[in-house]
Amino acid sequence: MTRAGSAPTRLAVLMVLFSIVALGLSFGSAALLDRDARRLRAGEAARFDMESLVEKLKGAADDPSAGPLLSAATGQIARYSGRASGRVVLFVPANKTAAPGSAIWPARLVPLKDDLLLLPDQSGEAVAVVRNLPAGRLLVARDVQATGPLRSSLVRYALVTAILLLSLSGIAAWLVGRLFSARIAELNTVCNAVEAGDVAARIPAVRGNDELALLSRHLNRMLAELERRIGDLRASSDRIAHDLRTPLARLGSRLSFMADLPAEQHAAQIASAQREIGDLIEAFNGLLDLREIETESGLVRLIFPLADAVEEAIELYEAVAEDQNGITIERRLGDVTIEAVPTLITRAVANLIDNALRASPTGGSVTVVVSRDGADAVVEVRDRGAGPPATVIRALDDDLGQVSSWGGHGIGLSIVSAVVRRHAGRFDLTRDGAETVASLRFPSVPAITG
Amino acid sequence: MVTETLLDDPMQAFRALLVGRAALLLEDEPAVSAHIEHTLRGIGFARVDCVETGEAAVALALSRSYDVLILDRMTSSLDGLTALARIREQDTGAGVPALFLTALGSERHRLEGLASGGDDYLVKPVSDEELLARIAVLLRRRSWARDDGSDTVTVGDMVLSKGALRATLQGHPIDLTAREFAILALLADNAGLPVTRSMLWSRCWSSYNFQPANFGNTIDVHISRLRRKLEAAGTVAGIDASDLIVAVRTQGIMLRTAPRP
Repeated sequence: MTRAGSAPTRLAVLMVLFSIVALGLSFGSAALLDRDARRLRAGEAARFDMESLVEKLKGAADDPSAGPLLSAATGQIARYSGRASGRVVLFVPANKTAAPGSAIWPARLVPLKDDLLLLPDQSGEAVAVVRNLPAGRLLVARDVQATGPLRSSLVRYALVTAILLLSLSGIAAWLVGRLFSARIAELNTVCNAVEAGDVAARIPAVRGNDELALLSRHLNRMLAELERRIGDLRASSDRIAHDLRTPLARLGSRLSFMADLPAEQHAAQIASAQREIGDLIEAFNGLLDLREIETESGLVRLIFPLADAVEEAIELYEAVAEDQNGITIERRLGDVTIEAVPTLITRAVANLIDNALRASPTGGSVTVVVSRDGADAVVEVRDRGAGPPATVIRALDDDLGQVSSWGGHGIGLSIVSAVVRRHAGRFDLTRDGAETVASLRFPSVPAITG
Repeated sequence: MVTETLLDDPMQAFRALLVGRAALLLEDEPAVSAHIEHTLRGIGFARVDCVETGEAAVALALSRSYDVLILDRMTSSLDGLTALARIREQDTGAGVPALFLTALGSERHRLEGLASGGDDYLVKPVSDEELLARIAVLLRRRSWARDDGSDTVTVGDMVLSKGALRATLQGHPIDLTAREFAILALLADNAGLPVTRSMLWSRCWSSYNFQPANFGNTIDVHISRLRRKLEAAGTVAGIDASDLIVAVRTQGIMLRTAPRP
């Protein structure tokens, strides 16, 4: 594990190292530039010397027999100017007999640029110009100066720049590092809180749009979802406790009542206890279903016409309604598409139809409508029954999870509410004249074509 | 196959299928285990081996021969799901019909059960009739596995062509909806055996992954519509088809192999 808070220091050290490399490369290139400039300056001077010399030795330069004379003259010049002046003058006659006192022709001449040749020397470099005369070859060279004005200022400025740049980049990197590590520390604080069981912890005031801000927002959203699910799970288990405790208590008292009865009356008591257990199991299954709808993550959402899921729900009840109760189900199914878990939508609508059929008198009718309302897809189930008691409508407005027993079929409306919440929809139960209208509203999406 | 002599008592054909069978039961709740063993022996099972751990179930299933495996899922140490997967890995255990009988009943649990090699999945509590009917269907299905793979089923004067979703009575077509055909096909596959309403629901209404409170009513209404259509087709064909589909005991519905003489 890395020591906490070491990130800014490590970033600063890294930045300083990079700056050193960058500075080294820049000053290295500047030094090479300076060397080339000094060589060219020496070359210019050598060219000038050559022109002056040829001018001074006019006549001799064009005379093929002037070799000895030229040898003597250049020897004279070399002696006169000396090595110390930074000048070199050499002449080699065409007949190869060097004049006494003249230096020997250099062994290595490296081409530099145009007519310039580099003359490496033990005491330093020189740049030479060579001219072929009728009497022989003439070389004039100038020493390349070891230092120039550019070089000395380069050294002076390099020192100042290096100090400034290194400290600036070190400080900047450390500051940036500290800024990020402070934000990461915020994330860690929230993670520690969640680890300790506080799922309500959030990263405060996320600003900007960089990766860290995105991560923070993701984390906040994730925690919100986690909190919602844990809340739903708590509500589910509370409901299980509430809905099961009452019938279990009833069963318990029935058994103790039975203990006091003569044996011949037991059969009837056993039968009603079994019915009670059957109801209990049904209620329990309903609660488990509810838990699954609220928290199961494996249910796949699809994009499909809402009318398809509604038709499935109608089909489930239509035959029974017609044959057993003489109730017709009328449908007006418009074309609107939603993204949802189809079986859950079918289930929610089926529960509403079931309610409506129970409320409807024999020979009546239930109307199911699918329509579009702005950006919403709406399912309405209308019946002409007495309608739900005011307490049910109030409970729906307050907390959907609390409606559990209206309609006499267990947790039907709780399941509708859970399905709606899972799809970010809305569930309303209203009266419209003589009709009870149960409506579900979901965000619609464009249909998939092709 | 079912013979004419058995037709008077529908339960007789059913019992004939179960008599002398051997079952392996994995169940770690002694009271439940004792009750199931009692039920199976009562109908005529010759041998019921009860074990409490998955390891014991794997060992027995691979060393003795059984007609059916009945497995609980949440058992101590090795669970029923893993136990069945291990049994299915071996040649000796690959073909035995297996039925999960468990308290885990969500859609995901059912899928896990079928994926691990289970042939059917029942959620506790179940009635004795339901359990026996499911076992009978599994045993019947195994005997077909050795038959030809034809998609045509013939029951008396009725012929069902599953691929074409077409049913005829003495050559006269019966006009059925897709759902009615599915019901008739399931009954025909198990002709002479009672099929429970919950089996009908799980096979013919499988697109709904929930069971509404009135599912029994829904099934009954469809069955009576189906009966009326068979009767009408029988009138055209000149035979009495009014009691081809009969109710058996409290939960079962059965297709008779031939109309009552």
